Amino acid sequence: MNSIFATFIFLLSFFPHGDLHDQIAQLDKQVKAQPKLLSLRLRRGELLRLHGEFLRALKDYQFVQKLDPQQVAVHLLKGRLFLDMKRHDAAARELRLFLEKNPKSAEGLRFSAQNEVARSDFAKAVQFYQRLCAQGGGGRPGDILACSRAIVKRDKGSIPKAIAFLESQLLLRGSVFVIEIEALELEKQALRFDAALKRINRLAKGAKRQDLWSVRRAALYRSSGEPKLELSAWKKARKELLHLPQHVRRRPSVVSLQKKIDQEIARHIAK
Amino acid sequence: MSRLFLLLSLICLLPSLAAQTPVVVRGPYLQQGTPNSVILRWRTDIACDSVVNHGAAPGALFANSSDSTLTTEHTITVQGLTPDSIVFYSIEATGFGVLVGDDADHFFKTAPPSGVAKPTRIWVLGDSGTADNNARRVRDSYYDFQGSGYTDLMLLLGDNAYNTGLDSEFQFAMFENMYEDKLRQTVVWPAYGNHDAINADASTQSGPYYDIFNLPTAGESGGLASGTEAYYSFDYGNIHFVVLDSEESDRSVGGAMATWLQADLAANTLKWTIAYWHHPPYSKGSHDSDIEARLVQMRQNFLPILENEGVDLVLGGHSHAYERSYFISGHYGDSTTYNAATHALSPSKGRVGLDGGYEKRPNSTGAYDGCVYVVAGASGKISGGTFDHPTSVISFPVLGSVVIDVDGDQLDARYFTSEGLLFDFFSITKSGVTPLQRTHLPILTSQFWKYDDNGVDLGTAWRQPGFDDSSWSSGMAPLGYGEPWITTLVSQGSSATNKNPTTYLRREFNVDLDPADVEHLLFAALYDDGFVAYLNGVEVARSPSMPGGPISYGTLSGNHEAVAYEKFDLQAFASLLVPGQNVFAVEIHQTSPTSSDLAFDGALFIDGVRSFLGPTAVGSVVDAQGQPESPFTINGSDGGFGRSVDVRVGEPFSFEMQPPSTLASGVASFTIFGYFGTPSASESFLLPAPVGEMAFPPAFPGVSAPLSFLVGDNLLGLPGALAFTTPAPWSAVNPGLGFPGVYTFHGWIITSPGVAQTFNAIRMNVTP
Repeated sequence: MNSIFATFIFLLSFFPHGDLHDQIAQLDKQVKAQPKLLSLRLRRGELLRLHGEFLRALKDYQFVQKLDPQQVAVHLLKGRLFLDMKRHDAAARELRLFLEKNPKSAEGLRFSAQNEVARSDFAKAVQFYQRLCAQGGGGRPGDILACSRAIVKRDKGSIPKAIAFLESQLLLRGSVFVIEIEALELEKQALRFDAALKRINRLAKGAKRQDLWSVRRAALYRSSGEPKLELSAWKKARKELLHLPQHVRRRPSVVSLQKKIDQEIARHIAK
Repeated sequence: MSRLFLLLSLICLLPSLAAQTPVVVRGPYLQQGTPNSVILRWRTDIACDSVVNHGAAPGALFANSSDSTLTTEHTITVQGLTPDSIVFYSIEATGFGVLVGDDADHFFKTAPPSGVAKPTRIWVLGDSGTADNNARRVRDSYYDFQGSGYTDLMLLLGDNAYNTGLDSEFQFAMFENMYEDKLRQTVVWPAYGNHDAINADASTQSGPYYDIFNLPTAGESGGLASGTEAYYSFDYGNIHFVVLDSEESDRSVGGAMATWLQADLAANTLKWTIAYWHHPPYSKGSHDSDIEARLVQMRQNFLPILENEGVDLVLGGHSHAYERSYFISGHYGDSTTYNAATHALSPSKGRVGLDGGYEKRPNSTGAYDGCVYVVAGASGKISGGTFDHPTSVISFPVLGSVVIDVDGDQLDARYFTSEGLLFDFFSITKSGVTPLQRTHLPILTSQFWKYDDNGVDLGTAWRQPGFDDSSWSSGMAPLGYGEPWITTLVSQGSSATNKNPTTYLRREFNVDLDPADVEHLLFAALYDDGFVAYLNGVEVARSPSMPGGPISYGTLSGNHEAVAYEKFDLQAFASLLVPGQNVFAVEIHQTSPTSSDLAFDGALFIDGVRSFLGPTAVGSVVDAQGQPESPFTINGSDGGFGRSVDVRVGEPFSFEMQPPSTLASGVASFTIFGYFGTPSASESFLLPAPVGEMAFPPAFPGVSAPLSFLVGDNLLGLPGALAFTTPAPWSAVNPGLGFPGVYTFHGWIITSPGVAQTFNAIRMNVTP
């Protein structure tokens, strides 16, 4: 991290709390008093971006660039700004310049991936996400989901590679729930019902809320066109729910779920 | 000769060739406690291997876990432990023996089996990372309260190391001259604050915050695997804790954190759910939850999930104040959309023994709902704000920490200030459970005393319970004469050269708990010149200024000025208390017949509750219909909706205080706090005491130490506070300030005997 950016990050800590508008107003005074202190400009630019004043933010970043052309961090900030402004070509250009000097930056890779998704260049988006997920620390769970969704779009709705990607992440990170559920949904979409059922059964082992997994099985059987199995799963869900402790049964979500299960059973019986 | 010289040289060199013993420079501290395991972390000054010996008692540490890798950052997981058991341990380095431990100080308790109810004590700190005496005072206040008891869990609400979350900042904010005693015995579970995030990155889980803490990513401590240390959950007994990242992780509906949260909460079957993160959903402290993005998003996107899954308590920091909500449900908009009629499930302030605790009862759909939201970001510093969020029962910038006790179907929470004042408490019970009263109000306040100033020797009978003091006068403390802050003037005597040597005071009070259960009995006295105090007729305290031996009416005290409240530990006399009516009697003694002054005020603390210098503040001022009331005005205005009054430089202005409408008779003493700026500034200053006059100190930009005036300061034991001794109705005019600036004024006022409530804050803008 170059010294200006480091100073910028350090000075973040001294900026007062308070709402965005007040903070911007205070920074306006400080910038007026010290117009060439670049970290102030960077900070104000960020706040202006958050406040939706994109053009003012851009002016601040451009000011910094003019005074310190070697400043790399401003490319990241401009990239994010252009992303917010939906100026995707400009965003791509700035982020590329930033990543040339900081190829492993998680933020740089993430914003680049998001930008490519916005430009519908899913192949490039996948490349950025995969670079991000390959970092030590491996990206956020959200990055993995976003990558998987970009793979589906890249493959024009074809799912197998997305599932394979998710499985590779599960192998690396263990059974992260949101990744498992994403894989489950893709398996359903791909009509891989046996694989989906296998995943549900595996995740349900040892779970205290068996009713939730029975509900997932019911939904799967509905998707696979197996009404008898679906009804059986709903009935199992009801039985499991009624065995839950009172304090769980009385949660708003569980009260709603019980109603839904009863409705589904009634619907099946009515048929 | 040369061979002999060589041999001698080698012998001399040997000591310096011997290896240096590693020194533990951080920790040990505990992470990821489960019923069967815990992670021990520590740092040494030089690299060595890692060995933990553990067992049932010091000297019997027969099991060990080790790692031969040479390192200065040590991490050892101790497994195979018995749930809910005490484990003693030591840290060792091979070849150097025990570095620390194998003593009574190095132990921990494993978590109880999941789902098993066990009385659990939780200590919560928010924005504690100042590494200064403010944080230490908050710490000491809790340590004094806790005594020799065990703290099961320690929760940190973020901003754990100012200013930028560097490793060196964490060292002084947590591990050195701060919480090291607690951290070696209690597992700490942190949340990620914006200051922690400055040098850390949630997406790569790198930086000091992530290096220092070992947080579960795969559900190691209960809950579903989140895949990241940025947010996680864990179980303890019958409590499920969820810790979210309001700073860097995606806060959108349908994002990974929200998806995980919903599934994690749905999968949980434990009785209690407590959630916490840094940016609070409801705050009008130094951060406004109506307009700041992170606070808004957490409220709009995460509260529906939490409430739908039955969360009981939500904690946050970030605003450097204490703000606590009613028992509410379903409010996800800004503060203007809050409707007490629909969102507040109870008009009560949640205090068993006063106005009733909160009970999770079925709503119209049969579901149990309701949650209390607490902002506790004042464990290291306080900042300004308007403190008027409509969800708040109580909202005030006061240093302190939260203590939560969960026992079966009841959860009790208390907020203790850095001075040991019980500032707030509330209870939540599960449906159908009658709450037990676990918090006992102070039984004596510095309010009304009976007194006899007739200059007559009353002997000893006056000290006894049952003594008829109906003919005595009654007045609000401080009592005395010759000081400008005296509330009740007592007679000086027949002349200026013949002052009464003794003035007598009595106060009856009720004890509503078994005296055998009293853990703390403490008396705090402000006095000039000396006193002797009696509890139910027995002497229990004597000021050092009084001579030893028998005391009589004519006994003179040594000289002593009333500068600050002094504590007298009366725990040894707790057995003198009786259930029901008790009497505390005090005789104040002069130092000489010509002394110009006399003064006394006192408060008695009982049980774990310390109402140090005054009543407990219990919510905001409201009228008999429960509608907000504004007793405090500037230039006759309460500031209107914006809570703001404009004053020009050089223009006179006045402060006014009206007695609350709920006060049937008597007087209403009050305290005003002042701050430079709002919401960002945190300097506080004291107003000088003389009634009818006020002056402000000049505002020096950048001053960080409080500017204070000695007279009358700290009468409520809160930093930056001044107790006015002339009660409301009151007004004072200031001739005008010579400089522009912004000030915030806030404070509390007595609304009924023994009860104080916070009044409306007003921001005063002084403009050119």
